[in-house]
Amino acid sequence: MWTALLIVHGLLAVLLLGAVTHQALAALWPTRDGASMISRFRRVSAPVYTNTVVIIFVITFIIGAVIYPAYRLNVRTYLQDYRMFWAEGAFEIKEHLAAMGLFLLPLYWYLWRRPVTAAAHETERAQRIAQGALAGLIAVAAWTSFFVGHILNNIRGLFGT
Amino acid sequence: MSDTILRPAGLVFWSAFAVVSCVLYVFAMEMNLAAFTYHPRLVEFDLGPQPARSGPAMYWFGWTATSIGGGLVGGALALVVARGLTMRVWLWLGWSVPAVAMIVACYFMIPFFTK
Repeated sequence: MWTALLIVHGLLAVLLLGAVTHQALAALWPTRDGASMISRFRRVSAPVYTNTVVIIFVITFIIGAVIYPAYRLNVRTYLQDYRMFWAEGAFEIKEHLAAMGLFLLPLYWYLWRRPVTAAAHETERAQRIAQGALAGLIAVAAWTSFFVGHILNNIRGLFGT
Repeated sequence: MSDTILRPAGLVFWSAFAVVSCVLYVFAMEMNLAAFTYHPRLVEFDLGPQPARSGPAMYWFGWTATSIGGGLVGGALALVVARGLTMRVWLWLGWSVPAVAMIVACYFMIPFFTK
């Protein structure tokens, strides 16, 4: 069951990466023209990803929390025995960024589901920057977690020998 | 008022939640301010930070709980005492302080890479 959960955790992380990277790039590096693949990637409607990002992040986080004790019992002790402290530290960074990404989700969701109003130009600009920054921070947390998880899984795998 | 308009109260609460929970998380992990401890081998929980009994002790769940609880309290307090700040200030605080907290949390992990 743990291995199945680990695979689902990884697959959901791929979905999350796609959604949040689309949104972050569209918000932080927008474009309206260009036919290249990168331009098309940046030209998407960023707000449509918001609910998807929140739902997938929360589900991925919960599954990660469920399988975390198996890592603590089976993998981390292995890393310590073989003095692979860099790998242990990388996982610490993953858990910290994932937790802080979770804390950002309510504000992220609150800002992205509200269109920027033109009531006050400075506020409008600050809201656009905040939307992009929050999507960017969540993307950083998701990408870091994904890479670290893959590296650790390739070192041993949760139930490898 | 339409539900899709940015309201000061919601912005203040969730910005303060993001700020307080992220900053509190850094303190929680550095000072081990875990709301509870999980013992994975025993499948048991203890209130507060407790030493390992049989097998390792896990504090991350407790740090996360501490931070969420503190963030909710911080958000409520901000509605009372700090609502006078402009929306622009809250919009900046809501992402910049968590960004710094993320960098600080990573900085504290440097010893793992220099052992």
